Amino acid sequence: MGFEESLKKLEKIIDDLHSEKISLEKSIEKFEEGVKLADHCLKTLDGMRKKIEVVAKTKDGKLKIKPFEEKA
Amino acid sequence: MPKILTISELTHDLKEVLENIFQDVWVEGEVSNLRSPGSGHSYFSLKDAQSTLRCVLFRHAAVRLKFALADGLHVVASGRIGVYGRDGQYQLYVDTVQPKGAGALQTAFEQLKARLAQEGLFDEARKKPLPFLPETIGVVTSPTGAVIRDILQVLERRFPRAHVVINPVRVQGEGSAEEIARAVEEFNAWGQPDVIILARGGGSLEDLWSFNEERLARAIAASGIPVVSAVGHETDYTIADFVADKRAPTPSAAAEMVMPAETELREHIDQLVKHLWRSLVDVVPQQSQHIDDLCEEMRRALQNRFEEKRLEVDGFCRELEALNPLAILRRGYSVTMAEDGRTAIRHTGQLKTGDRLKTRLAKGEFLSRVEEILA
Repeated sequence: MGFEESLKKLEKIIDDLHSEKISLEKSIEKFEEGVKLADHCLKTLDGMRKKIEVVAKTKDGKLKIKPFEEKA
Repeated sequence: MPKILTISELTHDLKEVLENIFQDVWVEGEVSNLRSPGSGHSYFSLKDAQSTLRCVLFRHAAVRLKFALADGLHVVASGRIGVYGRDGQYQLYVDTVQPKGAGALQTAFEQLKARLAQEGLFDEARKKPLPFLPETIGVVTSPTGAVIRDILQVLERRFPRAHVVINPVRVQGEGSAEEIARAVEEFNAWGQPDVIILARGGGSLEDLWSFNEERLARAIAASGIPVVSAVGHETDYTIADFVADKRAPTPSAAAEMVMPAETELREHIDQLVKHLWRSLVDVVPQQSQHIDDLCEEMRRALQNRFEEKRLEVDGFCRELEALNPLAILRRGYSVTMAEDGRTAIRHTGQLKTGDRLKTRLAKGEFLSRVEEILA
């Protein structure tokens, strides 16, 4: 699941939990799902790595990706 | 007896005279009767209120025009007068044409803009939304200079661990529109970036011209990956800006547009988690004090996470496990509810002798009956 989708789902769960008609059972279930989603979002953020790269073209027209070094 | 000439002789003489005198003519008028057959040559008349001049624009001269000739256009044309003997016609062989008033580039810009707008290329409905959190940002721009530096700086500030791939291109001069268009196509063929920034610093209309060419406009329109254009200064509008899914006033603004700020994202998630706990507090009031403590504990746990750059997430999962309300039950607490399992019993005022109750334990549930209310 994507980051945005997880976040939207988490927001929806909180809305649901605030609605009064929900049973205890259901709310514990929702809570657990919410915690998993929040964790998933944070994991996604933590999993991102800094990479600055540049495309170099090879003779056969394929793309070759190399680290980018800024020229002064 | 005067000398009698043949038609050919007369035509030849006229040709000599006219072509000799009118080798370099500049003339102004309105284009009419424009015809452009498949050969690539164009035939038209220039006219004013009283007179008409036939004109021929050969293909080699036609391809150099930045704008499209059209009936009704007021132009200045230069060239030489030639005589076309077969039809007994003199005509202007055109070298250059300039729109009268507005410059050629400005006219070309307006013409292309009108044509693409007519085709629906600028319609809001066909614009793609930008990704919420891009995994890879493709940047098409010059690899040297202030523009790429500004973009990288803004990204560094907002999300230090962003993944950026630069496709280096020339952003002005002959063939640059083709290069930029191809860079967009290469990113699409590769498929990795989930958003593309097209960027160039400020400059004159001529400098920015590649961003006004149809070749690039078509490539942007065909891109499956959303494109953000950031060309020139805030006041410069190019065709690329109109076709792109989003226009940014500057390259730095483009970087801000595509990348959310990491601290804001994390704060938002933090808030959501707090809400999550709060909502549980509302549902299980018997244990609200306890859950408040847990909430505090959790907030501290999260807080520490934000301060550490590359904290392992496994520990976090374990913490959450421990804070799970089911874990509370495992520690020996139970939840007592009305028989229907919907209403939690918070005080004895909700009960009377003989009521049936449902109690949830860490493992299993049971029904019981109120024998006596003590307090």
